[in-house]
Amino acid sequence: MSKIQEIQSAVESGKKKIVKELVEEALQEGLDPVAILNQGMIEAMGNIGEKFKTGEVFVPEMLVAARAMKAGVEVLKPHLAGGQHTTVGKFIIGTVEGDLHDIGKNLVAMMVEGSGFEVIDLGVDVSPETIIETIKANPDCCIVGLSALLTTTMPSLNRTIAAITEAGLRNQVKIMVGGAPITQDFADTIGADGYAADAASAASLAKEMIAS
Amino acid sequence: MNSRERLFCALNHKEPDRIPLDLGAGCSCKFTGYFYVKLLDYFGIQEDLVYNHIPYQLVSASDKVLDLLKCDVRSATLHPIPQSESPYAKKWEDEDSYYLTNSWGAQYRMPKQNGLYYDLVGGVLQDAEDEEDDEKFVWPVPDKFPLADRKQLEDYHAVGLATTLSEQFGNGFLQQGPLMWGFENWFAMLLTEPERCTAFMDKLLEKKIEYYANIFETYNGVIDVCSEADDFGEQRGLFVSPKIVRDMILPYHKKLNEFIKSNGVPFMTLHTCGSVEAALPDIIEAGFDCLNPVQISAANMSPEHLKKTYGKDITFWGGGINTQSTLPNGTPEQVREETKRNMDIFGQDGGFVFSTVHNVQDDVPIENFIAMWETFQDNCKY
Repeated sequence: MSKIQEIQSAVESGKKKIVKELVEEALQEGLDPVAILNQGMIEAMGNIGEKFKTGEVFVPEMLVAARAMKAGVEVLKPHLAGGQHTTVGKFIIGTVEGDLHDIGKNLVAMMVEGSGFEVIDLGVDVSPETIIETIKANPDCCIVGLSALLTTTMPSLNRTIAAITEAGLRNQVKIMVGGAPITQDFADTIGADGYAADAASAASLAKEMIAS
Repeated sequence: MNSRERLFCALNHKEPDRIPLDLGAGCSCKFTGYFYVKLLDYFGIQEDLVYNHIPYQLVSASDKVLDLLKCDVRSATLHPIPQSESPYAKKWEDEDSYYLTNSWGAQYRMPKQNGLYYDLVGGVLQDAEDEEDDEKFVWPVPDKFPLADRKQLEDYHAVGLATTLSEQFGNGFLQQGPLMWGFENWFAMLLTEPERCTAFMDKLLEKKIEYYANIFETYNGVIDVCSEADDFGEQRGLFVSPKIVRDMILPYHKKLNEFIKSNGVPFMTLHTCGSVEAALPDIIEAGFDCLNPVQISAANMSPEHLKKTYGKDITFWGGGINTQSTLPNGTPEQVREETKRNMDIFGQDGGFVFSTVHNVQDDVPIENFIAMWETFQDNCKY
């Protein structure tokens, strides 16, 4: 097994300490930091995402894999600077105004980050104004992810998208929505570009969105 | 057949004279304050609201309303005797929000503008790094209950009503941890430091048994059904592997069920949201008689599949109408159709207590609720 394969396997099984050690060793051996990131870690998170989608692994496995990757990225970070830009895109995420739930939103942020995006997490109860300001402050942002857990806060998704449109920013970003009561039909009705039913699907959808 | 006989008959998987109805009593069969006001207006009743669950903003429905709705089940209103104060419990507010921290140190926030619930925003052990840190937690002391309160449940039994107790000590064995360490920390700990989780759950079982022992000092022999809430599922499946549910979580429930049943409570309900089909055989094995809220909109939770596969072994207490779409957002006609369809499937051979899938929320139009209730009344006879 190559060093990069070892890193991949350690990320997938959520071995945080081992990932850190292996990344250090890989760097000492002179391996390309970008390859360590893409083939060692992002690919591992992709595999975990697929296994999550098919019900082979569950939330805890996904969490420990993401934490292991994060630990590896910390070691890698100083070596990635200096022109080696590694982000596939910028992704703004938040739970809509009036809704304080963040478990699902955090899992999405984690998986999207794990697939190579830079994630700006605005937290919960985020007003349309805050989202608009953040898009304006980050003109290179390509996707906005909005979450609502409650039937009572679903209308807030609608209002947020309408406000983004009114601010003249709708063509600048793709918008994806999610949350327990949300369906593809609802996403279509409110004019979102996409809907994902779980965190791994959200990460796949984000990659599709920037490819199209 | 009185309400209590009707409920027992259904829970013993036989067809009573009609399907038993629970609105307002059992776990997650209740009403939020805002919705309850709509119901009071509909009936032209004036009464003060009694909140029984502050974070979810749920109220205790009055006997007057439950009689009008012809409900078969009543809940005990618990009046805990004040005990030594928790170092964590407090309430405060700032310009934007109301806050409260409960006796478990779980911190909740409700925005003042448009806020409908208190939602969890932090846990007391979220920065704990090891067992030594965990042990600094000051456990709440299970309450004692005034003996005089027993009369309320005796009176219900005297007029033939069934009784349930759905207020429990803390959350379930899987779900109390997230309220203390935070969701992500706890769920990762289940894999990486299972011994910290079991140390906590061992103690939680001990405290829950102490709580029920206090309950039975007052309510011995007058509770027909107890319930424990422990959410295992999300929309698409279990949060954790079936193996973790089976090997780490359900053995605690089994021990607790045995204790509760040995104290004369004939039936135990497990409230567990989401897609929990993969754990149902183990839930049944752990000694649960009823499943609530039967989230029929989640994966592998269709009424047909559940009834056909597990209907002989467990009672479905809930599952009457989808509260994520049809009840709040459907037309009254759609509500009628779905209510009738679910009753036809779940009702066969008993083993069904009609209730909504989860508490009735503020955004439910009263027309839809009444359409559901009328459809139930028109079709509930066997």
